[in-house]
Amino acid sequence: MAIDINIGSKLDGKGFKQADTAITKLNKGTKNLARNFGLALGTAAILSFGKASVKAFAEDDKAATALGTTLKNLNLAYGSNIGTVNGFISRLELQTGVLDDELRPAMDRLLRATGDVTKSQELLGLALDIAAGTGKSLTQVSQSLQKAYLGQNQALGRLGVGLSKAELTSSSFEEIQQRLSVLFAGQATAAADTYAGSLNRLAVAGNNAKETIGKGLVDALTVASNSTSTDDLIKKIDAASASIANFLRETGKFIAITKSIFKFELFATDPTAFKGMGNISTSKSSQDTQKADAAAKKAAAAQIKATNTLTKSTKENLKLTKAKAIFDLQKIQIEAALKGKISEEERIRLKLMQAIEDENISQIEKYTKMLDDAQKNTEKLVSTLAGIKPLDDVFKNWNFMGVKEQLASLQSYFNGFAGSAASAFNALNQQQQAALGGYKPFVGASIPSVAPTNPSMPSSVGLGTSGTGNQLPAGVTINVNTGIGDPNAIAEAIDDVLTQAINRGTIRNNILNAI
Amino acid sequence: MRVKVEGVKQTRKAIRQFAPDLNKELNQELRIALAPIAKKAKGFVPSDSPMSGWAGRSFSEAKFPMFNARTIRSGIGFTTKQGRTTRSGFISNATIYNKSVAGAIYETAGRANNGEGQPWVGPKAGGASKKVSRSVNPNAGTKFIENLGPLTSSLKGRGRLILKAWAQDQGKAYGAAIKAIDKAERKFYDRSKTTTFSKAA
Repeated sequence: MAIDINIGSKLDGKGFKQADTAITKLNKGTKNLARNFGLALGTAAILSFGKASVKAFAEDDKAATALGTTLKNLNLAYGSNIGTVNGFISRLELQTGVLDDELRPAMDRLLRATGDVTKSQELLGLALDIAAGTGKSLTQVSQSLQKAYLGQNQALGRLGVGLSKAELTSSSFEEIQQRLSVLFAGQATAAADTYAGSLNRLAVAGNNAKETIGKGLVDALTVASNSTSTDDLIKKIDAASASIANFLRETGKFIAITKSIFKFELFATDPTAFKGMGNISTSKSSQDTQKADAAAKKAAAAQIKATNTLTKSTKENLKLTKAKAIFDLQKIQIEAALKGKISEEERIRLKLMQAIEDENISQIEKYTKMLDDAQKNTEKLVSTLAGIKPLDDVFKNWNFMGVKEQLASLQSYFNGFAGSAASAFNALNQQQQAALGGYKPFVGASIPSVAPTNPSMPSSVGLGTSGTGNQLPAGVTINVNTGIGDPNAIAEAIDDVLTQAINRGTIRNNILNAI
Repeated sequence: MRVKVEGVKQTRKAIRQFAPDLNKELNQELRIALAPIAKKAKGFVPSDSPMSGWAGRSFSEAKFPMFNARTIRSGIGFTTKQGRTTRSGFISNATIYNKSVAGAIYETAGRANNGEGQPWVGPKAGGASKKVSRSVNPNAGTKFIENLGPLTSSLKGRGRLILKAWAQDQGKAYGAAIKAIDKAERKFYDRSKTTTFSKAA
């Protein structure tokens, strides 16, 4: 990817000029070609029209047959009813400029929904008005009307007919139909009177002419080609178009037949030709139609009755359910439990129970999933807790017993020391004892006249064998084997022993300061 | 003999072949007009990546092109040669370009979605569209664009490097370039009235 700023861009017209020249040459060439093969092209055009006419007739005939079959299936094909409906379609086609190719399927659709010829005719008229007013296709409008008739009123909302969602939801189809009839009154007729409408009507006339010609061609070709059916004939025409020679031979026959058809005076004398609207009333139904309407009305009444019964039953069931809910102890208990102080998992369980009671599938699924998750989380927590090892005893390696033993030994030593000192003191005569003053256990100590600044005992003084009198060994070193342990605990233990010694009078009070 | 050359491409070709001195003069004038824009655009390239995560690394780990100021700067330049004819039939006489991928990203990021990045769908979303953000961070796109700084609007589009430089030039370079091209063409045709052309060696 690169970003460019193009400067001084100009249109390079050379390529365009070349293309223009090439097209001009091509046009000239095509015209010459057309001039040379004019006869062939004309023949092909006639043949093409012939094929299209045959196809149009076949499709029209198929649609008419399908409509007739629907009427038969709905038990509405009384007498000439099929002809009446087809006649109605033909009239509508000419009036509105909408092709019967669209009208017939629409009518067919409405007939299947309503099961009533008159109602279908009404709705088809309405559909034409709506289609003309909204610009939607007749197929789309008739489908929406069919759905609305069957209870799906929302389908009409999508057509943009100017009805609110609330109106569509709350109104019956009859009310909606009435409203739409007012909203779109005369739209189809007005549209047909416009220039575009006139063109459409001309197109309809042209299409009908094509179908009529097609019918004539089919009849003629069937005779000429010994075909058994229209499909067979179409296949033969297709085959004919593959071979030019065969094509031209067949075309000769077609032209002869077509010429005789285009003699317009034939229309007047041909008993099967189009004769106008006939004596079919546009305002009053025929006896057959009336008979069919009566049957449809009866069926509709039965359907309405069944629907009403079902609605009543549903309403009663609903009331019963509501009444039951008031005294449903289970639900009350769940509701009460939910108001208490409960854990999240308990709350989910209760909600699930509530949903089961209410038979609310979506809520049941929701809370089942939540409960599953909660249980999985609990299991995970339990597993995590099980994996946690208790804290090790930080004092387990401490040699407390060793310290205690050592302290006991120390205590025993001091006790012995006190005994030795006392014995030594007792061995002195009275004067010697008096000379010692307050320092009874220590032999040989001189009593200073002024209190010494350093009260510690001189290293040369003590109990032992090498002094004057009985002396203790000078420079006593006491090793305390405490092992590894808390220094504070050890110090406190030593302090405790020394304090006890002071209290017993076997050690001077200020020895601690000297340490 | 009066010379009539059809087409922009052919005119430049004719100038190049039959009046090389004019061609040289034209290229020189175009260079004088366009070089300051390219130089200025190179100056807009930050020396360091606007985000540490976009900075180049010693090892390659992603397909997304990493920011490298040197690569981006070397990718910015201009050419006085004619471009190719576009599908709509236009041909350019000179071009300022920003051809490195990282440079193009720095230039244009944030233009399409008004500075908000591509719509976020996350890494687990299906499809293969490249028009959506699949980052784990929903705000990655927006933050990326924010860090790059604002886009500058010019008549050729919004951008941060060459388009910003183009906007700041306010059409001076464009005027000079067009004038140079017109002058060369005019001189060529004027000369054709008085001189007999022969193809340059």
